[in-house]
Amino acid sequence: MTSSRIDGQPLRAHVTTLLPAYLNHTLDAGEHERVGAHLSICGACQAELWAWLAIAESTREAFAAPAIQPSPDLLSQVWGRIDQTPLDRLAQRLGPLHRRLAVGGRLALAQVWLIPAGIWVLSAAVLLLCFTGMLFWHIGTYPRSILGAFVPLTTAIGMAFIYGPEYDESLEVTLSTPVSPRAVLLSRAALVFAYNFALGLTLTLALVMVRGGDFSMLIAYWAGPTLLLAGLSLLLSLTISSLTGIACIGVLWLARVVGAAFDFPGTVFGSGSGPLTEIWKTSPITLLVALILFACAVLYVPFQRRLKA
Amino acid sequence: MTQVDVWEAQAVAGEPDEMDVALLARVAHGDRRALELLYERVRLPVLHYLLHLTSDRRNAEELLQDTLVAVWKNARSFAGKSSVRAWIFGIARQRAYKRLRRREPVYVALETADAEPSEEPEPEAALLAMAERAELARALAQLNTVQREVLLLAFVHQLSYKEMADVMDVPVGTVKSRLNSARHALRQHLSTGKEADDDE
Repeated sequence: MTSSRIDGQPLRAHVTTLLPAYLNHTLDAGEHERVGAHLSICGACQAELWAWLAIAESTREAFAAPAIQPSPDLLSQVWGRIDQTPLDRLAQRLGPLHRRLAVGGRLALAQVWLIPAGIWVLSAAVLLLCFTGMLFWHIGTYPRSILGAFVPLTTAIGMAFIYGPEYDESLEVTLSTPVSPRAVLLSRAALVFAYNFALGLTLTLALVMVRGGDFSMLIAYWAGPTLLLAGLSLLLSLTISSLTGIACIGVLWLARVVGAAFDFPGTVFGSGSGPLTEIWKTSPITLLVALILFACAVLYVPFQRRLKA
Repeated sequence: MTQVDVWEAQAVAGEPDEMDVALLARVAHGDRRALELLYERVRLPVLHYLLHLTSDRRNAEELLQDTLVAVWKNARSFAGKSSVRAWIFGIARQRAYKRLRRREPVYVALETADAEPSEEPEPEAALLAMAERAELARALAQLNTVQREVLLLAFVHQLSYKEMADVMDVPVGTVKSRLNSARHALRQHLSTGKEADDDE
């Protein structure tokens, strides 16, 4: 007499989800017996079994293993990789320097068209205005203050818009390519930074030629803050939003302008040493903090939320 | 024939999981010959699976290399919770998705994405059972990546539900759900094909 329960389950309970595994003989003995017993009394599940059988056979035909053998030297290549030292691995990963440079160059060139055009225009327009102002302003240290204020500002604003779904409509397409998101970000950041840095250098050189002064000292006046604010703006734009990056840079910038225009001794706006003053200097600390901010941005970028909520 | 030769011959063609586990244990102790034997056992199915994922022989071979290097390095971490075969397929799959920088596509219809499929038989089963092979082959070609992958693992590589779950890193219920979704999609493609033929 047939029991009404097999393997703890009622015999009449349908078994449709187990049928693929039943066909493959990958069920355990108890389940296999239960499915077999149920099939002998259930026409509907039998029909399902025939359907799965047709699917299984068609799948095997469609995806039949091609007569492809791995290359004969595949295993020796595996041993070669296993026996590599960490230095060998690093060298292999980086590849020949000229090839990396060529690939980097092509990647950067391709990104030029994907970076919002406004960034290039804004930086050039603002810095041209600054230059005009510096030519006609003859009060004390004002020209270098203009340099120190506007080169970092335009660079930081540009950095806030180089990457992310908010302003880059082609980002999803870019990310669907095999190029790493970190490489895309780095190439864009390098482009915007290099562009603004070149503008800053040109402006400084023009200022030295017209008004005189120490070239390297004038560069030191804006290079460190530019790197620091660019790193901060980039990191904030990736982790929160571009507008947050801009807002934060705007606050720091205004504080600096207020501090330069009106000295408030003993406050953050004072001209002595303080966190706000330190930001606007080219020092080992600003450079180190800037590098850390860029490194954080590069590490974070693959985890950035891609689509708008 | 020496005892080692016999053992090695068994290793290449022997009982799947026990032999794989024994070989992997030897790999974990740095036995190179064991990795070579394991390679002999898994190279064709893993290469076939990688070819399906990448559609490119060079990539598939590089990924097979990656997989073997990872097996060599991580053999000690194999905890025996899944079969060795599923573990190696899982590594291969992970490497393939990482290389292609593809997020795992989720094409399963929302209503069936998380829910366990019903055990109730469906009246349209006959449509699939009676379909011509050529029609089914056309319908299979229209499946999405996830649906094709689950059918490939089930019927070509003949993995159990638990092994498929380990490979795809999803619960067993999701494996059943994906199989069911693939079956639904096939039926739908067959119906659409038949309607198109009728219209002509």
